[in-house]
Amino acid sequence: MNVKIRVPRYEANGAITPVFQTYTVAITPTTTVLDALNQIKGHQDGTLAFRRSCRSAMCGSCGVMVNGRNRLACNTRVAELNSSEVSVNPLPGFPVIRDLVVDWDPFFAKDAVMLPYLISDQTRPDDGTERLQSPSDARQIDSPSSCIQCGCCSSACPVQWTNSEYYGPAALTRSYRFVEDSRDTAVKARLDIVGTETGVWRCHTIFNCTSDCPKGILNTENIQALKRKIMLSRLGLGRIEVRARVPESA
Amino acid sequence: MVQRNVSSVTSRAQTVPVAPRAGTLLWILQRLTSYGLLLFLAVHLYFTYVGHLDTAAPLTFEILKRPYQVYPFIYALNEGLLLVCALFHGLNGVRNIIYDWTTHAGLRRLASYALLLLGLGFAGYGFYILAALV
Repeated sequence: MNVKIRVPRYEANGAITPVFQTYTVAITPTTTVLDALNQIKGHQDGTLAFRRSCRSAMCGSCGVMVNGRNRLACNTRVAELNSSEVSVNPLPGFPVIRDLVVDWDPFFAKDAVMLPYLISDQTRPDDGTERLQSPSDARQIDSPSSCIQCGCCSSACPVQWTNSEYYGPAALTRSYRFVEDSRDTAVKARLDIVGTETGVWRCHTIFNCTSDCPKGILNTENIQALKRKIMLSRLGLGRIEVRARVPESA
Repeated sequence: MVQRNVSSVTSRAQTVPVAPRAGTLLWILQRLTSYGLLLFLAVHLYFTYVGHLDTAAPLTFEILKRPYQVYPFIYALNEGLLLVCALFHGLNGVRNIIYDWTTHAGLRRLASYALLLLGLGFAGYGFYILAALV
């Protein structure tokens, strides 16, 4: 079966208007969009630029917009799309460098603002092992921890399209992951960072980030949970729990 | 606005603006006024329309004035709160749209003050009318 793949081609270094190019690719039921792009690059047009790495939905490199929705090219089967012409576009809202390659610097700069590492004022265990968590505490952060930073959520957010300062759902979910971490003790600092006009208060619960997350992370719900925590703490109705709980088994 | 330098994690120099700690109160008030609108608007609509469905006469100013005479304090309080909730909810919504659309600090500040003045103006006019009705 043959499928047409339609891709915007940008001149390198800054042409604003793309020229769309269509390639015909032979697919099988298991051919993914990334396979199709690799076929084009390997056999038809070596100048097509796109990012890829792990091919197993772990690295987050191949996030693209396929037929109007942000997806990972490597785990989207062409046959599933039920379309004889598949439109593949770079992630919207991100500056395009060339073809399907976008500029990730602003995205990771926002991630860095979230202090994306464990902060604990507790001393490490004497035997030098890791800080332990109970299974239920670990389950709390299972979902947000599975984020692979593919950018599909932030790119799907209409607020991010018009407001480049908004941190976006990926960064906010990153913050939520550490706010919910029972070993982290910098909850107040984290909430101060995200409880701003460029943080959670810019989220209008559009839910695009949740529906387009290839890992099924409930990004919008996570942002709402952050809003609740910030609201309660600033109204003096809730206490920010300084945790670092020691699990029962330790 | 404070610029946080995060160049160490990206391939080229990057700064990310960190907004002042703001927005919490406005967000809470936006939610509270939405509940207020539900309640006060329901009361307003009931006394304006539903409560007079049994009267065959067309809706006149005299009929609209009647609730102020029958429930002088409660109805005026409802209308006053409805005015405040509607103005805040609507104008803060416009402010949110402006904040979504522009990152220009001066423009944002100008819009905020313009909306505040507009709100105060409408509130003054509304309460002037309300005082005349009571």
